[in-house]
Amino acid sequence: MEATVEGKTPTEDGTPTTSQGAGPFEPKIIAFVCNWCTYAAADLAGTSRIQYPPNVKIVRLMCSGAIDPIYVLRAITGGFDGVLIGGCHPGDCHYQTGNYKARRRVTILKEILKSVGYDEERVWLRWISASEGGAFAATVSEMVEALKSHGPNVLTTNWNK
Amino acid sequence: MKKRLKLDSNGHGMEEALGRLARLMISTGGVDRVFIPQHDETGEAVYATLVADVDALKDPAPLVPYINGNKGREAGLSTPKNGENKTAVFVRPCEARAIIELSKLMQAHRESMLLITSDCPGTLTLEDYKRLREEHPDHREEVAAFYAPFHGGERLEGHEVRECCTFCESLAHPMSDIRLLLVGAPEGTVVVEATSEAGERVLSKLEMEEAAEVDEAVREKFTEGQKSRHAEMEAHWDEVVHSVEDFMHLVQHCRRCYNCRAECPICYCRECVFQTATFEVTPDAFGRRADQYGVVKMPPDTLVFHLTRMNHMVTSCVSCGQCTEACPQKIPVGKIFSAVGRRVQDVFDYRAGADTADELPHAVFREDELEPR
Repeated sequence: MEATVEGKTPTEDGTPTTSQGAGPFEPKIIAFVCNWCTYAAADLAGTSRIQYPPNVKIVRLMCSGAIDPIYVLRAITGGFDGVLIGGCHPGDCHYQTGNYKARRRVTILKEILKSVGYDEERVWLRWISASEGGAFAATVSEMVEALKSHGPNVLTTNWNK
Repeated sequence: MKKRLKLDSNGHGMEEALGRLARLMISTGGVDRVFIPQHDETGEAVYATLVADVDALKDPAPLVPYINGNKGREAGLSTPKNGENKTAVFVRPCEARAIIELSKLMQAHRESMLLITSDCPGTLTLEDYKRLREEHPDHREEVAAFYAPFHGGERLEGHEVRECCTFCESLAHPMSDIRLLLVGAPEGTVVVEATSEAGERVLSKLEMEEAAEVDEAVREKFTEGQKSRHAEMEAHWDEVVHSVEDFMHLVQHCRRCYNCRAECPICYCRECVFQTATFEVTPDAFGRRADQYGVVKMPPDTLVFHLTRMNHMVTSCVSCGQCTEACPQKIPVGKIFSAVGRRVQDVFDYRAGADTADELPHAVFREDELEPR
């Protein structure tokens, strides 16, 4: 877990790379997804062979309401360029209300990030149901494009954090 | 018409008059105990005390222009849950706000308290308070000097109050049971106002003179000044913080001593997440970070520390500024958290410490809100 959170992904020959590697900027995204919807959607996108950029690393949680904002903060200070949080559509939470709580938490977190001058548009909360494989692929593609225009995350290279 | 009584210092000082009021509350059976700041035997240090015996209420200091920590937390910790043992709690507006937030967080029992807040001109840092004491070795004279201009809605010149006090938006807290009005009251007197039924019941047992009106215009003018300074503080934030690097510059000397968290009345967790394995960086992890960035800072994660603490308590930040006092690196933590807190609270139309009936933004949700994101 530490290696992932630190933003290091071993390449085939085992050397670590960061988003500041050679070549055009490829944003690195970590996706915290709900087991009951967005994770199933990602699975469906895969089994349906829908193409989407390989920039996303998926972490499955049992509910979007189980995402502690600390994970998001560790990700954006630890090498990722964007964080995608995927949950069930309002009213569809497997645990009744987890996604409503996630919505409040993400809203508070993003308002704090905005207030301290951080680009809060690097954090996305999206509702993607289990049947929406296409929507998952489209969301990832859209996010990769958006982050390319935002450029690399300043906190990746700044060590005074 | 709210019940208002006049408390005259009769030349013995306003604090002694308030002490007399507190003793009367116990002896008439209005309350069982009193939570009130008192001087220690040297007459120099001030502590919050919980008093059950009227004879032990010897040297009350409810108006001393210095508070050693936000006593809202101690008031919560020393007031039992059952509403039968009523405790009269003498606090400042920022402490009352902390009590209201803590009661929503189930760390204080507002229903067991008779909440008594006084108009507060702001308090001094310990250093500045010592300087004031040097000028006025007699405590009674010191309080009289500090409060004399305050009756007219001004502050004593030459003694700057703490930064957070300059933009504190409330005089005596409107959700108290009893308010001690000083601004707009004649010099040397306190107007004691019952603000709730409980307050009215206790005051009705006391045989005291009915008060004349306080000057509402003076009160209004003082509050407007405070509000405009709060707006200035918020505007200043916009001028200073444009990027996250600007924010990091503000907290750049942080050494993660946790003093701000320890002094924060809202940070009540017994086991803080920063002292759990979540934030432990093992030697291996330090090594990996050094490999990744070429260099790693120690202590690590100071940015995440402040952002996470904000995430945990900024919706309840009562702007008491005790974090600023506690910071050995002179980081204006209180101002930073006040500015960010106001923005976050605005999203939910929430004011920390305003009313026990308001719901904590973190604790509730609406089905239909915050869309589209």
